[in-house]
Amino acid sequence: MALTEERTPLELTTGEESVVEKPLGAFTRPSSNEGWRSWLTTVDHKKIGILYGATAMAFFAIGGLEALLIRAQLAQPNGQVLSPEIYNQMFTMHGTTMVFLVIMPMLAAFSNYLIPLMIGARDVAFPRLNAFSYWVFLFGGLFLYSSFFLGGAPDNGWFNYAPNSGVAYSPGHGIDFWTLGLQITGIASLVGAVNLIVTCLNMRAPGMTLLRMPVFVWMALVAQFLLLFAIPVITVALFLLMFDRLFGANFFNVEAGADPLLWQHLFWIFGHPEVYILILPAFGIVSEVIPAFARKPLFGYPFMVFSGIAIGFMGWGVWAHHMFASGVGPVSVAAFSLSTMFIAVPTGVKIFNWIGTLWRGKLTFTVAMLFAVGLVSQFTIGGLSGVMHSVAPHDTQQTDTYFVVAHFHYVLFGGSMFGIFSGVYYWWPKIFGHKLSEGIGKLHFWVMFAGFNLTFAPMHIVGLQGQPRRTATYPEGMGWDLMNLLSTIGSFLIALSFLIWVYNVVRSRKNPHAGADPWDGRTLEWATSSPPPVHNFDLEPTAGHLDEWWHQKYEENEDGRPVRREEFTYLSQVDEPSLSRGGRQPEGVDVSKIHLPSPSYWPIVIALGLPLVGYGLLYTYWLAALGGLLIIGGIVGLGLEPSVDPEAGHDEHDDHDPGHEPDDGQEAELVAVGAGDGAAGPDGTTAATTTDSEPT
Amino acid sequence: MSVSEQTAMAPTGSAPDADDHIAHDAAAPAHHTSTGLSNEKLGMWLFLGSECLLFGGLISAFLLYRSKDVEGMTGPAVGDLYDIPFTSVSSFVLLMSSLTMVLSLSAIQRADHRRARTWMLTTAMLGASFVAGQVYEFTAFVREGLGYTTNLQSSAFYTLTGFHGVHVTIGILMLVSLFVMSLRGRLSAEKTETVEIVGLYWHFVDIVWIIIFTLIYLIPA
Amino acid sequence: MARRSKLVLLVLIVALATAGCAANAPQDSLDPAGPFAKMLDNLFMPVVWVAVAVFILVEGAIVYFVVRYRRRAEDDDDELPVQLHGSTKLEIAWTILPALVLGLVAVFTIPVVFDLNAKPAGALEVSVTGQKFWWGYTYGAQPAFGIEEGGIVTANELHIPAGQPVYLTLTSPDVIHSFWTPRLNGKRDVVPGRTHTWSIQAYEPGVYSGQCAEFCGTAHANMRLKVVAHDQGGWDDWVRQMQQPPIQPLGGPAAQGFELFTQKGCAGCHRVEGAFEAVAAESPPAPDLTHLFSRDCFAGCIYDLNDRNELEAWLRNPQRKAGSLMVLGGPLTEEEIDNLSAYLETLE
Repeated sequence: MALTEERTPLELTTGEESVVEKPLGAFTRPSSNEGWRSWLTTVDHKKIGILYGATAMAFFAIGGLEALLIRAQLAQPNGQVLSPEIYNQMFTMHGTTMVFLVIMPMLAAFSNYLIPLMIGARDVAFPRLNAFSYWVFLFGGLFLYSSFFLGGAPDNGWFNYAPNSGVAYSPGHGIDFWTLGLQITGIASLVGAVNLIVTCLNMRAPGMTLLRMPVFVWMALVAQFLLLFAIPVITVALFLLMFDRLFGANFFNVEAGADPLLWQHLFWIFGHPEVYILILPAFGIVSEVIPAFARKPLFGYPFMVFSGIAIGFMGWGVWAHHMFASGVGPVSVAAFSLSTMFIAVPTGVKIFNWIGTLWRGKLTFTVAMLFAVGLVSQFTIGGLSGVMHSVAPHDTQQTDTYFVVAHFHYVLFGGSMFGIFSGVYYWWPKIFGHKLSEGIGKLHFWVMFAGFNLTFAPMHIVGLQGQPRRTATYPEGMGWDLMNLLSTIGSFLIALSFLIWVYNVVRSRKNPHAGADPWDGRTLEWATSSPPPVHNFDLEPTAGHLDEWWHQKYEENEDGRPVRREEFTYLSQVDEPSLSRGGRQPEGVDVSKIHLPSPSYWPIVIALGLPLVGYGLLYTYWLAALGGLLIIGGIVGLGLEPSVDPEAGHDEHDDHDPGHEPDDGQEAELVAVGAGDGAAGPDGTTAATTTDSEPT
Repeated sequence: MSVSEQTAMAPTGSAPDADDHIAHDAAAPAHHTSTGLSNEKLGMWLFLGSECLLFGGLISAFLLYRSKDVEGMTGPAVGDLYDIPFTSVSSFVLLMSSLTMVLSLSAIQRADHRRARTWMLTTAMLGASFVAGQVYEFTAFVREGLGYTTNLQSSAFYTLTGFHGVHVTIGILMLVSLFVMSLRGRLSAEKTETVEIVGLYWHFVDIVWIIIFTLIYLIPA
Repeated sequence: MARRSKLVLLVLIVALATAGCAANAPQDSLDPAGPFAKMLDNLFMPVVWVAVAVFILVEGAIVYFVVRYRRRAEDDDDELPVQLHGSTKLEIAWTILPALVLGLVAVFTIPVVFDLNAKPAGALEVSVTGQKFWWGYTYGAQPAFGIEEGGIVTANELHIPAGQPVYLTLTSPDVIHSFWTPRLNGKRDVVPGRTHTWSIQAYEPGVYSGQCAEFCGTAHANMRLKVVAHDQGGWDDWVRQMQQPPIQPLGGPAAQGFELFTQKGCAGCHRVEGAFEAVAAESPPAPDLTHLFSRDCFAGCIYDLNDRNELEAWLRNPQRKAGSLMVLGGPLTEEEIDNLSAYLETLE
């Protein structure tokens, strides 16, 4: 519950530290928003978004290295670069990393950073839980990767089919690290999903009706709903496997009568919605980027929204198309074949609408736009090979071959990663104040585009020529040599393009300030300064239209053509150059009345407990007990700590029921404290935008 | 606030009113949100939606394995060990705890903190009796030779019901926390919603048990 | 720039596809060699052409719009295009048209799903076991195919009569594998605890390559198989040979090898009909060696049995195939390897 404090305007805009000598529990509550330590305790959705993004990109480099090792091994027949044991660890960790530690957190990064800005909120609904999600994700990922130093990484594929995942066939701890690590990151995803859904539904600025939300927010919202319902399903699967492995349960013990298909059903009931979790936010990103650079609104906004929702629903009815060769019976195969075909319809609607947005636009090919159009063109290829999979009888030729590998890389790389890079180039100036260099960026795009197609297009061919995936070597004389060599060359081109991007990031630090609205954007995040202030907007945003910010800047003349308004007002203090072409600074702003949740140690403390429990389950229960203590202590600490640090003692809410009569001593005490407190503003404004009081 | 009002407040050109930048209108209720539901309550609803799938998965796993005819299954079948009268009583106890939870909430909404605490404690005690009943049931089953690893059904049964038991236990901890908060005067009037939210969780766990009891105890394999 | 790169790319893809198809690929699913694979191919190719048409349409529209509507240097940036918000007619069109096309695909697809699962009439029946990391085949007595009481047991190489359907019953004693000979049919998983069925058939005599297609552990890549389809005469010869137990060698290195077979523990896992029948119950499944030298390959069909060096290297170190479950009862001397090989060569 929001207990509030008075802050000086200076403190908020500059982030200057205020000295609060009030010990809470074992710690003094952190209060700074600057310096490296502030990153450990921050609850600011923007900082957390940046943390997610930076971490995901680091994992992208690691997962990419694993991919390079895989491709080096397969460059020619009878490859000797890796032993089969190491190769199996590599493809397992590559898949697990790219799905759980790169694309999901990358989209969490965008969702975290952008959703509050786009809907005109000051933060997410539960800022401290948001920090908690990030730390849990980070520690879960590190926990998973620590397996490399503790006897070997998991080696049973990212799908980890039973019964090969059982102790009998995988006696090492690798699979345990996988099950526990994914349970930990699952907690992060689940908490994040609740948080972001509540944010989308509850924190919208006045006037921001659901159908005025930017498409990115919509797609992120659908993806978070999918997470909300998909994470528990894989959690069940992971639980059962964990109990099998650690406590001798029988869920996947075939000798006791278990059915290995139980794992496949649970995994893919999660796994297929997961595909849409990975792609929908990327769809959202390009749905923002293409209109911005076509300089016209998204074609068919409501259809884009509803097709996204339709995909969200239909995504639950297609999972068994991963099991067309598993022996689920012809009736199931027929049904899932049909549902898989028809999920292509709403996906097609999206592609056609993006093309409709290009139609009669005025297209500027910035790097962000190149990646966005790249997504539309490359995802189409992945979509079409997806339709080929839906022809279930022939899918028995395609499944578990490189044809499938090609398909999902066109979807996840040509789709998700291109969308992510589009978003990175588009919002970089908003997040860091300067653009990435366009010239280097174009080189990055074209090298990545070429490398991507060179890597994955040949896989269609070798797949249909019968090369199975997850095989550490292949013999000579299968007709696969040339295509595999080309794939390997392509993969190194992708690596080169990533290095070009890293160079761009490093070099661009010296680029001039980009201003608040460098792309003439359409949505509210461009109405505030770059980077935005801690509280996002000095003026509270309101929304009268879809693309509200565009409507602030433009109106239509008598011919129905848009004309720029003489002047318009930014929602925060912006730098001088942004004020050209009619921009005005907001006036009469007193940011001292804005109260934000204070930084907190507790999220990272609780999160730290989870991997300890994990190690404890594997090695010694003492560690688990220590981890449990950290978690419980952290939760108590978090529960007792007010969301906003009460600098001047307890504060009382002004909306406190005046007729309320305390019924006992305790209540009276509380009222007394409240009454003796002069911290609330003279106008009685105490409510923070965000409250963060979870039960218990 | 109506949309039109807010649109009119759009800061286009005109100097905004001094209060505009305040996060949300101070005169509005503490939990002024777009949906009218507080963040915490909405969050709990969403969490419970997620929990449905979690229990759905576990229940499905149990039903799948119970209906499986395993040749040469070791140990007894779970279905042969049920003590339906006993479990009916403990189910009734849990059901009653939902009633006392409602009474506690209604008391605290009337600002009757003393009565609210009494009902809170009663709810927690009823929950604890249910968990105790479950522990008794488990030990009885183990004595009959049905350990966690004995056969397919036993693993599924203990995992499902144990998982539910853990949920009840967490609910009890939350109730005790509420009780302590109330004693120390931290459960002020505008925080009565916390009780409501814990109540939501409690009723959910209760409903899940009704489903488990019906599906796995009452309907034969 | 965009158009030129795309054109180059398209040319490249076509060139690659041509190069790819021209290569000799023994597991090419696009080169069906039997009625089941053909049935799949007939379903697939029309879908490919529909996909190509959609591909050209969509990518063509993208390239055209990119060129046609790109911002030009002389453009006034303050002049915005007309703010089109959409078109309900178009939306309905591009919802319904793809649905109709997909409906058409579905009409052809669904019957094949059921056809594939039906048991073909007059089929040769073979029980297949997939295990780490080799394939076992058991033919029960089937007079119509010349197989008498006692049946036939073999490994890795599946022999079938050409022109006749073969109905496979698939089981696994350990983890999931997948039986796949791309030119004869798609794949079907071999799942422990379940019995799956699958059909294959070859039009012509020949050797058809295949391999395990579901990840099954360390040596998954080296769990290969061959299907050998015979004409009638070849089939009869093979069946006759397989139903004659081998003759026990009476002297020379082969006889010493025969002794070593027990001493070194081979007989604990490997069965040889008439000589070593008492395979230990707890031993991992191992290939039946009764007619080892009727086959061309061994150890998951990755080594050439006609090359004695391969066999000797294997006996020196079965771990040359990483993940192999074969354990020697102690290291063998070169002489012992020679003798064992000599014995194994008598198992024809």
